[in-house]
Amino acid sequence: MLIVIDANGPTPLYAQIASQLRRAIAEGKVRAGERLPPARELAESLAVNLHTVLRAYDELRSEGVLDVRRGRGVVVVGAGGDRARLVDLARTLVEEGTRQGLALKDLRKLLGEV
Amino acid sequence: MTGAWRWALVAPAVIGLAAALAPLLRYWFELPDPIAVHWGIDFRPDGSLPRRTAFWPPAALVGGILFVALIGSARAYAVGRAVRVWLVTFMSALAATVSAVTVFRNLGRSIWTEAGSMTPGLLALQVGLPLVLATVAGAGALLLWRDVQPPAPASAPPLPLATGERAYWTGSASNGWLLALGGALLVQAAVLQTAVPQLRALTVLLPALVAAAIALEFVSRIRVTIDRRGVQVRYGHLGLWTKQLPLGRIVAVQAVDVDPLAHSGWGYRGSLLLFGRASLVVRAGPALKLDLTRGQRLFITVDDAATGARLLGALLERETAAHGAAASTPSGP
Repeated sequence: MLIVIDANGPTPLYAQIASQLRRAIAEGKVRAGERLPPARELAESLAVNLHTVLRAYDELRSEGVLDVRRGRGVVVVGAGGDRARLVDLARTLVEEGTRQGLALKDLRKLLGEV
Repeated sequence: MTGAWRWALVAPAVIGLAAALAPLLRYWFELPDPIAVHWGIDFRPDGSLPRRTAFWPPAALVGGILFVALIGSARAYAVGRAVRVWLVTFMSALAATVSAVTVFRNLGRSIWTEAGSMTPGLLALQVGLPLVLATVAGAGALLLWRDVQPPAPASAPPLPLATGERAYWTGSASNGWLLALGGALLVQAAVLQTAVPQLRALTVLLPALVAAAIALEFVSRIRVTIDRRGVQVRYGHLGLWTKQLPLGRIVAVQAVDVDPLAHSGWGYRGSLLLFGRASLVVRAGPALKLDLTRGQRLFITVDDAATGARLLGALLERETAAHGAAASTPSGP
């Protein structure tokens, strides 16, 4: 599982980490039932605050991709792969739309046309 | 590399077993039943088997070693092939010489306890001949079947890593067989402790079995992480024991395919300190090949080693660039 973040980029670090995790899960680098590394380890490796990683994990948990259990660590939930890919695509769409100056309702209209 | 060389595994086994069976059948009616098959430390016969079953232990041994040698033989390369040929030839020849010596010592005796004594000369012949044959066969295999090309896939280009980008990679390798073997040792320890009271006197046996089980657990699963600081290996399912390799210790990295038998087996093999070579082999397949400072080399089996190698390559490049810049700064102004 590879995670690359850009400390100088415009996207918040937690969002970058979440996006990289989503991609890793969608690509099957981490399979359902497998554990993600402890947040502390990831934070130390990437030289970011522990809460940044925890926020990324929390975001994926609320999307139903991860299951965070006390004592068992962070586990990838089954069938999260497809949804994770979809969420990642949607996020890319929103990001690209924002960059081109499109509001959310413009994007909705666009999605309707597609 | 085609699989033709594997006949060099099957042929010695078949020939060896035939040679082991031949004297037994030839002198069948001139041998006692049961037949002496084991000699004690005083060179007197101290163990016997019914004549009909005397052939099965060597046959099972040769069959077993042939089976082990065939595991993963399709992807074996030069050293792995030679080691396999050596092992099978040695065991097959040993089966033949042991059978010959056994028949020779039992010949014409009416009861197995009267079988002739073992002699140092017979023992030396019994082990020496297989050693010579196996070494000749192994060396022959090494000379005959060379690697057409290096088995290592060419090192992938380093991951493009821009300044300011931070990266983390983790991969693992696990082997359920090693874990099961560790569990079996624990069961054996428990059984010996409870069911065989005489063995309680052997106080060293129980700790040794438990220690072996723990060692097996440690290499039944490892997890490798690569980041700006270097490589870290966590042993076992809990990762309680770790090994650190700072970036400055690593000179080059490559993703390769590893054949356990070419690395003398599973587990942590060799020693960086003593031999400058070590391999952490959990299973056959992808591995990181790390060239370290002081000319040392370390293999670590891990899934998706290719990605890990690409990241580590990028981190090494960045480290080299940073050092180059630091070195040139003082001479600048």
